[in-house]
Amino acid sequence: MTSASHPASVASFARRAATGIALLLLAACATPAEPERMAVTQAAGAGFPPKLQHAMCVRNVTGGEATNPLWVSEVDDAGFSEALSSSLDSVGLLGAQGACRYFIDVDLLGLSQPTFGFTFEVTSHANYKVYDAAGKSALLATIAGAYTADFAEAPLGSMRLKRANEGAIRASITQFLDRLRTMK
Amino acid sequence: MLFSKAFSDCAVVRLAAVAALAWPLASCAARQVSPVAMTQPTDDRLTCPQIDQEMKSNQATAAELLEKNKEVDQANAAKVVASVVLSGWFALTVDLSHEEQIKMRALADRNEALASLKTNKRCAA
Repeated sequence: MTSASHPASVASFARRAATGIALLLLAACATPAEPERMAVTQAAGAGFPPKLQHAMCVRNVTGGEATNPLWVSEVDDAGFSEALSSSLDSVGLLGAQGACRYFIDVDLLGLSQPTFGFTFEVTSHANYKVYDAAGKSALLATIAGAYTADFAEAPLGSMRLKRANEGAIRASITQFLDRLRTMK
Repeated sequence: MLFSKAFSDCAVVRLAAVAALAWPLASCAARQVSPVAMTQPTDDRLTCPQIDQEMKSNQATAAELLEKNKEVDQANAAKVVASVVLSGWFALTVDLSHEEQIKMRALADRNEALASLKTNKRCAA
């Protein structure tokens, strides 16, 4: 090896290393939870009271947080609202605009997230409030939904946390649908 | 012979070190948070003074949690700065359990439900 080629190979290595680090950093950027991954799909009409069918609308969702790409993945209000509406639609509970008889308000209390680990267990805490057209509460439910995302599901930590968040919201919505089934 | 023994000792030490490091990483989880439920099975039996008392108590607890939440946020911010300036290991101590925030919001919703219960029971304002 000549003395002239040595600095060139060092520079080439440094460029590749910098590119690699930049790509790793980009890959590690946090992105918000995806509504379609938070939505629940079940058989339509399965065990729900007839009065709820095609009669429910998601009115307000509060407490969600926007995701800072340099920090950790979160669940925002719009994403949760879309996931809940989609879940209600899949089971035949979602009402057409203007034809709603039951209104759902959700307060996302927060996500309990781990800081690090091989497996990420996230628990979502949410208050679901269902009101009838007269404004009387028909159901007030405090629900905790947990999900564990392992290394095999997402090797990259930021993605693993995102998958755990999405799973925790899915578990929460599943429990909410179960509560609706027993609503009198 | 001497070399292979030293090598195997070194490997054992390395394995032990990796296992010691991996154990807390594998078992670390968020703190369990138990927020107060909006409704309680005994709500129907609450008297008006009991409802007032619980609402006051919830407000006081929520105020304490608000202060604690600010402290956690400040500590987290300091840990993030330390992780950038000093060592990335500081980031591992950031608290993402959101315990205070979750409990605080749950208490606000509980008070909302209690206020509604007061109206239904026709308690004095």
